[in-house]
Amino acid sequence: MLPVIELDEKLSLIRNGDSKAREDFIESHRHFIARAAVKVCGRSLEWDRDDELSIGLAAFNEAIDRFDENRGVPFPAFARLIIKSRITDFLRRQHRHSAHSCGSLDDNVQEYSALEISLARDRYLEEEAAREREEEVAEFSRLIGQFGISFDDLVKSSPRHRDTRASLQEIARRLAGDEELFTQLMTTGKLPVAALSRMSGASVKTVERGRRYIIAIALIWRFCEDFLHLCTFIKPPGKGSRSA
Amino acid sequence: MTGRAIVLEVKNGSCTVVTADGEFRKLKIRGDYRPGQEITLPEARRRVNRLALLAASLTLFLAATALWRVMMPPAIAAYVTLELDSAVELAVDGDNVVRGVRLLEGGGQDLAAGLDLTGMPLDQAVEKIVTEAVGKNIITEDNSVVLSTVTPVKDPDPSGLDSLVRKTVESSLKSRGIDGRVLMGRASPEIREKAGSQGFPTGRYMLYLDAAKTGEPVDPEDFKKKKITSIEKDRKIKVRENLRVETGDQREPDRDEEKQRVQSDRGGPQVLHERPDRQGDFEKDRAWKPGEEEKRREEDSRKDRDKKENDWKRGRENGLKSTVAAWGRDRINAVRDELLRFPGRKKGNHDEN
Repeated sequence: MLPVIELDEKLSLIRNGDSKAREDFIESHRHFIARAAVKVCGRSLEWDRDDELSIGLAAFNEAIDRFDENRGVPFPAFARLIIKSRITDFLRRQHRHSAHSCGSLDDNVQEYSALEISLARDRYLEEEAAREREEEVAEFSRLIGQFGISFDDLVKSSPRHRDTRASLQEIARRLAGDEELFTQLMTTGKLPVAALSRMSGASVKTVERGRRYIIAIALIWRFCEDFLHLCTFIKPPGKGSRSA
Repeated sequence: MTGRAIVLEVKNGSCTVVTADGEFRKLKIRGDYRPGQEITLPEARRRVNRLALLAASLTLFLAATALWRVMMPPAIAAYVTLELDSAVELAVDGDNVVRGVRLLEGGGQDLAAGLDLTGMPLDQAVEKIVTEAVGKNIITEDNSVVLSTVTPVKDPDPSGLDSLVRKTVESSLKSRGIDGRVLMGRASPEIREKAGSQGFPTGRYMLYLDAAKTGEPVDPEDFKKKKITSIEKDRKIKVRENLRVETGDQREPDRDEEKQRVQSDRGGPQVLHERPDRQGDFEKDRAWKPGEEEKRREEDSRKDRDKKENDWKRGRENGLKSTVAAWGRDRINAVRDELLRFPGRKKGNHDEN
């Protein structure tokens, strides 16, 4: 589980030297680290057996220290990039990496100055983040397409009034957090309007009218780990539990 | 207001973005953008919805107008009195809505006391007063003369006020089985003021003025306190002599009446009207007939015209006769022949010769 909303507060706490908070934070993100490592390696990994997971843990810890919110990249995406970079370097060194397109930042390090390395790293992160975001948007477009929703539809159905939008987002948040309702949505492809209306207190008409918007936002927040950029970018209506 | 957004789709010179607060928008763009790119939203230009602007302006105007009407005292268009034994004066605006009530001398307290007439349409207010008067036995079968005056403030001839009051009073009385009489009067603001200063209701003051014009001694107190029926009985001839009685509401005023109205508007003698079907016996002999003067004038002019025509004919005949007598028939014939010898006939004459 990745409590996205509380990330800023926790990172701030860790940077102020709270080692206990750091340990807890890393521990709570073991699943996230494992998923990122598996994605890079292209095979299943096990704790205590595969070094890639340990490298991933170290990379995650490094990401905590190096994260800068001014880069415009959310922490989970940044951490994933660092993990990917470090594991790729490891695999290269071990001559066991598969044909991955991503390169290492540490190749021929001895030939460049520290400033050049830093600049190159930033550029790499920037490019990787842009590429990830593009892939993410393409994946999101494909996913909502399965529900017959296009971006044009979302523009049309997106409420212009902030309060209306917030109420639909609250419904989406409840949908994303409810296992039964969300499974129903994914299996039938239909929004459980009546159940959501009862659950949120909104009228059936309101839910029905905002159907496409609710589905899109619920998908982003439910699959937060797959849509890290979108998930961390779109602010929820209020503080609540949202998982990645 | 600026904000951040992620580009979702770039298509045909526009891009679909999602903002940080979850709004999906379509923007027109210039430049090279890729999906997933985070951008800064341009300064939001306030789109002026002309229709909304118009609606807002209209609403503001209506609100201001309504506020103006509420805040500003309504303009009084006329004063209407209803005078029985008691008298009450209603101030009405241009929409014939009662804007003020004044209890006049003569026991008006009894007539309108406790009635909330302000803001009520005039006809309803009049009906309410009549109902109250009947209920308090101010109007009875024996005392059913209602004197009412209209004093225009701005428009010298407010259309329909007289007939509105008359019809309302009559229908109210009729619905209660009372065969009443309604005397309508038109007063000028000056007369109304004088009446008030001397403690008269306007209509009674007009009766008093009419009675005083005859030159006979009149006691103002009689006109203030006595019932109208009593005044009529006591001063039957004098009062009625000064009443100008109409035969109907729609009659066009003749010159004399117009002249009298002008005088009335200047504060001169006033005119009281009574419907013809309510005329008393004293009026039957003296009933004014509509168009009598005009008929007389037309007859005179016709006679003059006939006379002139006859004179002219007579003169022409006389003239011819005298000429024939002086010249003789033969000479006249000779002159005629001479006149007939015009050039076109000379040839014929020569041929004859």
